[in-house]
Amino acid sequence: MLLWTFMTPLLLTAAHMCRAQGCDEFTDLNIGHSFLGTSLRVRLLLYTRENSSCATLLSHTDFSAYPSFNLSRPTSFIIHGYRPTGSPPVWVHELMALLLLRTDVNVIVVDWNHGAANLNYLKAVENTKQAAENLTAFIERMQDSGANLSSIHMIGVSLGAHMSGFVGANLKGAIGRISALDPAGPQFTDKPPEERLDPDDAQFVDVLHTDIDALGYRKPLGHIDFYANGGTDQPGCPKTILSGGAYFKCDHQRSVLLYLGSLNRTCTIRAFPCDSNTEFLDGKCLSCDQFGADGCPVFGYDVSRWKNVLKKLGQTKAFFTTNAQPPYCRTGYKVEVVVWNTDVHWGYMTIKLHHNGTEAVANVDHKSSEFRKFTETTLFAQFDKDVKDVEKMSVTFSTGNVFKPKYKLRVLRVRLTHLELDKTALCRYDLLLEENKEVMFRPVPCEDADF
Amino acid sequence: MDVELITLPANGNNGKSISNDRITAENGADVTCEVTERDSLLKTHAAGNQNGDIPVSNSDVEAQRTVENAHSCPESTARRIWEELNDTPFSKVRLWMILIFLLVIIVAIILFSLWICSVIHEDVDEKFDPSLFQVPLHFNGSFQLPNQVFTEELFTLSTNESIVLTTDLEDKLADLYRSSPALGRYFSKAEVYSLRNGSVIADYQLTFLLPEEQQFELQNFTLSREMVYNVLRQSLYDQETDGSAPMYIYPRSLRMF
Repeated sequence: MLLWTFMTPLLLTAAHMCRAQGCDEFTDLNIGHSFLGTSLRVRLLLYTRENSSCATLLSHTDFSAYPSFNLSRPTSFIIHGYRPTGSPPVWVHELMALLLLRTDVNVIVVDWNHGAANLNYLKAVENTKQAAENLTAFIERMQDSGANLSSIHMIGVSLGAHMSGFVGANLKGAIGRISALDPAGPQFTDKPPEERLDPDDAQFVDVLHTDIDALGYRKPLGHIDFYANGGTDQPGCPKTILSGGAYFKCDHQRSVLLYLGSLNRTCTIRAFPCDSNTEFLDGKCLSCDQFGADGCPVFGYDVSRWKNVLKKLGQTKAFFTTNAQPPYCRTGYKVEVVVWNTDVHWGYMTIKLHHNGTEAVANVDHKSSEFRKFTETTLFAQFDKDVKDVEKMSVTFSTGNVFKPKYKLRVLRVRLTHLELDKTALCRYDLLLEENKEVMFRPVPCEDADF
Repeated sequence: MDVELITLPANGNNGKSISNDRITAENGADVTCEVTERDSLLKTHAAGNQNGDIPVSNSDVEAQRTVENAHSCPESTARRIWEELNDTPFSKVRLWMILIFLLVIIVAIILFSLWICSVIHEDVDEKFDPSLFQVPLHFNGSFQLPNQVFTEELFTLSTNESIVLTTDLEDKLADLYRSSPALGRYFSKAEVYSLRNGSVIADYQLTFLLPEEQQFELQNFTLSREMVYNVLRQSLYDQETDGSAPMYIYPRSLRMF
């Protein structure tokens, strides 16, 4: 509080000086600042539909000078995380613009680059608490001026996610929603709820995990926790340190890119509640009956539609996989295979769907699947794109064995069911899949199966 | 000693101005460096032999030899190694060659056995005994040929036209089921037993023969109506692309009981 009262006049004067020059910008620091360490300074940049290209630096106390800051509108906060290089986050403008495109809100970019830019991560962690105090005071001020706490949405990235949690806890969980994008793990893992984000911090807390094995947080933190690609290694991210800095931040940063993808509506990512990623990949969690007509929750901004049912469920872990590049969404199919081989066979499948020259590919290779005589094997195939009408389909069976004799998988029926659309399942009967040989065929609408 | 004797001519070839005898002495020293006593004896003998040629006193030679002797051991070893290297060193070459050869052989044997394994690998699903297939199983049904014109001749099965058409259709069905990986071995015959009006509607009967022991399992899965019906149905969809052909069968008209 002391710091806050001390900084207010400073910010005010800064605001007035900048106003004269036009737009206010996000603080741009460099590695030098980070090296020397920066002390916390919280700047609030306001964007609205009226001035979406030009930020206004808000005063923390006096809102009268900002007619565009309309408190009858909902307010979304964007809070960045640790900035070891001091550079402004590249995604801030896009996120702000997409939020404004969706709804008429006040977007406030919380610029705490002074405080986050510090080579000493522990110092930045310390600053999150202080910055949260600062923000809490600001939001209380907003409430005094007539804002409704339940219309406040905070989007926090990494450290910013926990900061949102602290703000929410300070306000007794009254704020509407917190979206946490890969909440920071180091210094927060295994801490009690009051020292990290938790579901009580807001009316609805949705969390995305993309880097649980390094910079992110492993355990569930919200009402729904999305684990993209299991929450560990994101496709398209470098696997070795040879790729430089991207090796460290790519997985972590993917969380923001996925959220942006959910905002711009290029495609929706359906997430499946499940206990573990392995079970999800095994296709054991494809049932969405508990969500009724809405189906399984859609990842990202629009998950608020499932708020009530998810709150009833307590904490939900939901899984999905993505492509390496945008559009990140994949199309899920259930593939059921019945074979008549006398011996049990194990192997992987590559399935391709063809339509009008476009080809969608799915590799079912997270583990080798078991094919047992007259028993249905369910595979969960996730295709890199959606194919409107499947004209042709091809299947390649492989075992990964180099020295063993080439096996033949003798398929009685393969049945392909779209997971979301209520389309008739497609079938093909009587296939001979020689190992590593692609077999292409035209699937026919399934008849009601007897077995 | 044998080896040393063989190397003698080589020494002579080197153009040394000293006689063979002396070299023998020297060589003797080479072989047994320690045996200085014997060495000096040989030396005296050598000196005696050479007396006429080299006008030096015995004692002088003696002294010279002693000096020479002191160096001869390492010097000649080095020379021997050098010679051995200069000659084709069969023994050493053979060692690494044998090692590589053995390695190649081992790899070859492994690859060969793997190849043998995959060649003699028997796919249990490819082996069957047709004589055990005794229990008949029939499927009846019909399909429509929209591009055929129904005539009175077709109605009577004994006419030429109807025989041509039914054999054609029977062959088609038989070819399809015989080439089926799952059903082929059980297939017995296909019969088109009547042609009706409706462009032309053909009634057919398929006969399969099952082994007695697995007949119920097979009837539930491999030879279920679903399989037999859909194998034919999907083949009709495969030919759907040219719907104007005279023998075109309308896929949706397919019935099977």
